[in-house]
Amino acid sequence: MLENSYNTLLSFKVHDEFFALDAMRVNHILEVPEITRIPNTPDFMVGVLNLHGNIIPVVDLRLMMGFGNPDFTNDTAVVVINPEEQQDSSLGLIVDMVKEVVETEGLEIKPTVADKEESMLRNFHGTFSMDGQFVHIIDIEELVAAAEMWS
Amino acid sequence: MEDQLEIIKQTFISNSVDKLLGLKDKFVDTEKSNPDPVAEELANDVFMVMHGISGTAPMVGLENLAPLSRKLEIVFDKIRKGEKEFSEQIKIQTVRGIDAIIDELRF
Amino acid sequence: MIDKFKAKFVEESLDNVNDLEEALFALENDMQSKDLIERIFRAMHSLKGGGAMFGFNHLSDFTHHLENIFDKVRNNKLEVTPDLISLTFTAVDEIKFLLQKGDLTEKDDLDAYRAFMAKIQDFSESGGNIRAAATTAEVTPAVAEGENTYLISFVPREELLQNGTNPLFLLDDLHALGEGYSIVYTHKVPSFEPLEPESNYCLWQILLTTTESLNEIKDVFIFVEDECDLSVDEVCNGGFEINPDIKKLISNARNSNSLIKVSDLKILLKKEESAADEAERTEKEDKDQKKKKQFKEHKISSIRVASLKIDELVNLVSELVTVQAQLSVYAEKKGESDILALAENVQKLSRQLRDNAFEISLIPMQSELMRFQRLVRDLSKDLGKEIDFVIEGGDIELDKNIIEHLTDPLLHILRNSVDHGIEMPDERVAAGKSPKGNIYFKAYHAGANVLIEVTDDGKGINVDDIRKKAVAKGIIDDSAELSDKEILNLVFMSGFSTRESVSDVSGRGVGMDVVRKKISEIRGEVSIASEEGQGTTITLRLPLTLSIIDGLLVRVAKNQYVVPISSIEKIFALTKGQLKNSFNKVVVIDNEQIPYVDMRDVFKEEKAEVEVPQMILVKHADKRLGLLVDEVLGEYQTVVKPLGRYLKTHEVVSGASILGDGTISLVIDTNRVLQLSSSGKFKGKKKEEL
Repeated sequence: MLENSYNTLLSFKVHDEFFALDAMRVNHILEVPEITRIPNTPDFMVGVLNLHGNIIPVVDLRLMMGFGNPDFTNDTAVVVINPEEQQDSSLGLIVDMVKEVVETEGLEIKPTVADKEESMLRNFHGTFSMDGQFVHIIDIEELVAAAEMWS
Repeated sequence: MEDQLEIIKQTFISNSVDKLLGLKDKFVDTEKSNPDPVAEELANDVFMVMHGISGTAPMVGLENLAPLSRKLEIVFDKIRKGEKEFSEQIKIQTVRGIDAIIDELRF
Repeated sequence: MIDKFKAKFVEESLDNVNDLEEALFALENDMQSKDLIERIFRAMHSLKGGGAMFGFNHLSDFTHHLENIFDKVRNNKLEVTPDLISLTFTAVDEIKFLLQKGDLTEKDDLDAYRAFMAKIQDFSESGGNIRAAATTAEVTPAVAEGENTYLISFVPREELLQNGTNPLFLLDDLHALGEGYSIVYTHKVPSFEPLEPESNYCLWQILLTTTESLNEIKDVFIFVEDECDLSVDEVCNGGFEINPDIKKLISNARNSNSLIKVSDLKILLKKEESAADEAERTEKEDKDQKKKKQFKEHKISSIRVASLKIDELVNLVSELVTVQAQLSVYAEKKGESDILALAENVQKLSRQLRDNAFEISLIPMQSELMRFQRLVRDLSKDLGKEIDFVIEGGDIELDKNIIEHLTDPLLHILRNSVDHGIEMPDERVAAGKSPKGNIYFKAYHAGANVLIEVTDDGKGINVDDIRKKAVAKGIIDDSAELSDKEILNLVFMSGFSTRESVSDVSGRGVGMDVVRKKISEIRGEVSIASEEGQGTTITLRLPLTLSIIDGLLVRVAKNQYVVPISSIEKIFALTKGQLKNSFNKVVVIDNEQIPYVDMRDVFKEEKAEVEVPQMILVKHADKRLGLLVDEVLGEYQTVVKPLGRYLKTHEVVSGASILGDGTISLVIDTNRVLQLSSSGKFKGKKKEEL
């Protein structure tokens, strides 16, 4: 399950755990802007934001991961990813803190054991250790499917 | 992509110029010798060359070539089928036409 | 890199194929048309040439054989038959396939390809009755005896020089045929300003005494005949001399900006006159002409642009409209007259620019119509039905994104009409109709919408059958009281089918829910009308463009929403009392009972007492519904942006729009609200049910 199609990862904090995803899929990192709520959508779908005139839906990764009552602090950020290089697949992810860009070369990536019942994301590409912390690599396809599935 | 187009275009131009010069030589020959035995064959040659040029020129952006080569093609199609006489005047005009196309190709 | 170029070839070839298909349709009705046969031959020829050039070898071989067939046809060696047309139609499909696939590698494809090739070769060699080549064309008349004098009027068009023809060579060649005298007319040469060096403004008349035949003279102009008006008239036997009378005739003609007439010249030439050698003058004039240099220029009247670039343009213009709105807001706040005037100008300009850009993104439906014709033709042949398919309004233009989304639903609707609407010929005769069925496809403008109607004169739909079916399927209650129209519209409900067994073509009703879904994705609506025994009409109502609407900005709780003005009938201010007295969510306005929904319920917002609630009356088909909102904020022209794939299926929000201050407001799809409201969706629904 570990096809290393990516060389760099962006790591970030969600609640008190660390995750990472393919940095090549990340288009922007924003401070949390004004987000327009969309009625009749699940809680994790927090709304849409205006990014240079484009409407980008935003999901709260913390809620998707099953961590309740998330705070918004100065570190809270929106990571805008573009999974399929199409305008309409852009998606904003709310995370608690963006950490760093990691080169995968030389990293020892092991199968992920983390398995949180409440999380909408269960299938990770692997886990590596960095500064004494475990970092789980998110499967973007699973993320996109989960964000799409509510309707 | 630009480069590819340019390469294809240049190949087309040099091939066409070669063929046209070859045709022209044949015409000059027929003017000297007795033209009749080769007339049909020659008409067919002109038709084929013009047919090729009129079809491909627009594809490589040489739209200017199409009308004249097209006309030559039609006339020689008739000639090779015996529907039109291969007159001396047509020979003269054909050489003119070939010259004009070569000029256009080298432009 | 070459791939991009290939893609361009494929794109252009598809245009060619389209043209080919169009010509085939026309040929089917007029099998003798030389023009059409020639058009088909040309199209094949271009495909062959391009195919070879870009490595589509199978395509090239394939079209080569087809080209051969049509070469025979245009030379009267092969006749156009329905068989040939059918074969060519299927060949067109193979061409499309080959264009899409490139060279074939899979065995199945290759086998099919080879089989087809063999069929074509067969046809090419023995298929038609080979007719003797008719030598009808130009018949050479007997060569004239002795010398004659001809008046040759050579009036080239302005563009003569542009394809490399030098008219002076032609004149030289004419003179080489005998004794010639050229008269050049320059009255069409413009005064210096508009003179274009690459255009030809001169015309000539040449008096020529020669032993050559008329045809030989005409042959001089053989390769320019399309670029000039040419007439060659015999004016007298023997030679001629330029006498003062003829000179006078020439100068008169020059002064009156006309040419000398054949009849005038004939009279003058009957008299014997003394010779005057004017060759010098002629030569001088020729030299003048040579000064006009030959430059070539290709005039372009239309250009092909990648659709992505158009999208980008429209996007940028949308941005501009948004920024301009911000500027207007700012200018008004500042109140400085200079800035206000400037903002107004920017507004005017951006509005013009916007209209312009949107016009560019509109394309006619034409290209898709070919597929529809094909479908009706092929399907009716398969089913043994006779159908006249008439298209009206094919030049109507729509946003290309709409057209893209429109094709599949329309194909489905047409399939239904052919398969289930139109009866078999004998059934039709038995019903007192003509054996040939009719399907009308009509597109026309209606306000800011385009309507497309597909009407057939087939057997129509039995309302009772639909009703029974709907009850059996549990879609409606047995006791439900529905109008015929409402019953008919049940076919758009998902899972509905009136056919016991679904045919391989389409079951009427099967997929109509999909049609409605697809049409509503492009903010369109679909409705059906049918009379048993008379036929069925399906009507699509479509917006002109997807991206811009006139909207009413309203507030519900804390959020702002846009309601498309096109769907609004009236706006009322209500008193609280009016709502309190309302029973079962019906409000009485102008003595009319109107059902309404509280948008706070729709959006699951908390209930609140609003001082002056506003009611927006929206209408769709014959249904009306009041939408209760907290406040009406004003009218806005706004750019509607898609919500992206994650929110595409939202039940009542169909897009978003960026306001002047950069915030986002959601666009309410009023038709969906109407539909959901009539199915009782907003009464006591809880969030968990999402």
